[in-house]
Amino acid sequence: MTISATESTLVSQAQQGDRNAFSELIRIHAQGVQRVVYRMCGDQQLAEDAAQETFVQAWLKLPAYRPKSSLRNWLYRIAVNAAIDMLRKEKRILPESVDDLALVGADTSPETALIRDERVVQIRNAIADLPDASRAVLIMREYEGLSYREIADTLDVPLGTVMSRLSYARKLLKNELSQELESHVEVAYV
Amino acid sequence: MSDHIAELLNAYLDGELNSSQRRKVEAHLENCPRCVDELEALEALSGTLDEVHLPEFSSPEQLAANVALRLPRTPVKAVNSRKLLDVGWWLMPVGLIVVWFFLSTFSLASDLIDAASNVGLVDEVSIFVENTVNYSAFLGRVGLLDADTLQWLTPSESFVREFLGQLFWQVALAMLYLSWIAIWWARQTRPGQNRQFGN
Repeated sequence: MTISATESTLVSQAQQGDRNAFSELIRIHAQGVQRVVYRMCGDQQLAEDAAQETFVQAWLKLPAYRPKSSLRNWLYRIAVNAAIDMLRKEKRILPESVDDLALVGADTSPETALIRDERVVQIRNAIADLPDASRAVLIMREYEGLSYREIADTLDVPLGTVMSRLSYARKLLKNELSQELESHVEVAYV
Repeated sequence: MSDHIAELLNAYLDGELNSSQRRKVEAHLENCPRCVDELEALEALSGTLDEVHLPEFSSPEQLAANVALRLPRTPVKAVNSRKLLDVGWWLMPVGLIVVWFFLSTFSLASDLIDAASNVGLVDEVSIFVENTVNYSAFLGRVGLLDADTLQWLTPSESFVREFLGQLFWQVALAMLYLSWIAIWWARQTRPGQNRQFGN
C-alpha cells in the first residue's frame, strides 16, 4: 500500500508541526491501530492506552518518517511496540473473565452465549500467550490481512522470518486450541 | 511433518506461493493425507480466530482529541538533528582522507628533514632529531645492552619504529574507511532496516 496524495499532504503538514493535519491522520488510521493494539494486548483498556501512545510516539517520530513506506504499516510497527511496552508495564494482564467481552448477538440463548464467550476467552488467552514476535506476525496476517511482504516491511524482518514465525504461531495455537478447533464447525452451526 | 513443509502449507493457505510452488504443494497434497489434515486444521484455526470480536473503542474523533491533549506544545524538530547526523555521516570519509593527507605530509616532511640533516644542511634540526627518545640507546646507557648489540640495534630501532608507525596508521585509516563503505553499502541494499521492531 502506497501513501495517497491527500495523506502525503497531511503528513507533510504534520511534519511541519500542523496539529490539525495530524489529527486528520489519526482519524484516518485510528481503527486500524486500535485493532492491532487490541489484538496484541487482549484488553480493551490497555488497547485504548496503547492506541493513544502509538499516536503520541508517531507525532514524536514523524519528522523522521519517509513517505516511501506505507504510513499505515509504519503506524502498525509503532502500535505493536507500544502494545508490547504496555503489556510489560502492566505485567501482562490477560483476559481471564468473560465480563469484558463484546456481546455476540442477542439472538442466542444464554447457554450458547456462555459457551461461546468461554471459547473466545480461551482463544484470546492462547493468542496472548504467544511470543510477542510471533503474535505480531499472526495478527498482521490473520486479522489485518497483510501479505507476507507487507508484514516483513512493517515489522522490519526478513520474509523467511515472517514465514517461520507465522508457522510457529499457528502450530502453538493448534496445540493450545485443539478442543476449540474440534468443535469449531459444530459451534458455528449452533 | 518438517517445519519446511509446514511453512509451505501456511503460505499455500495464505495464497503466498507462486504458481510453480502451488502446483508442487497440490501434487503433494494428493498423495499425503497427513498434510491434507494439517491444511484443514489450519483453515479451521483461521475460522476459530475470527470468533474473537472487537469491542467498542473510542471514536476516531475522541481518540484524536485525547492524543491532542498529550502532544508536546512545540513541534518536534528532529529533522534538524537528523540532517546533522546525515552531514556527519558524509563528512566522515572526508575527515579520514584529510587525516591521511595530513599524516602523509607530516611523514614526508619528517623524512626530508631527516635526509637534510644527514647531509648537514640543517644542523639544528638534526640535533633535535638525534635527541628524540631512543630506547636501545637508553638501555645501553644503563648497561643492559653491550656495545656490539647497540651498534646494529640503534639504527634498526628507528627504522622499525618508523615502519611500524606508518603501517599502523595506514592500516587503521584504511580499516575505518572500508568500514564506512561497508556500512554505506549495507544501508543502500537494505533501506529503512534500522530498528524491538525498530521504528
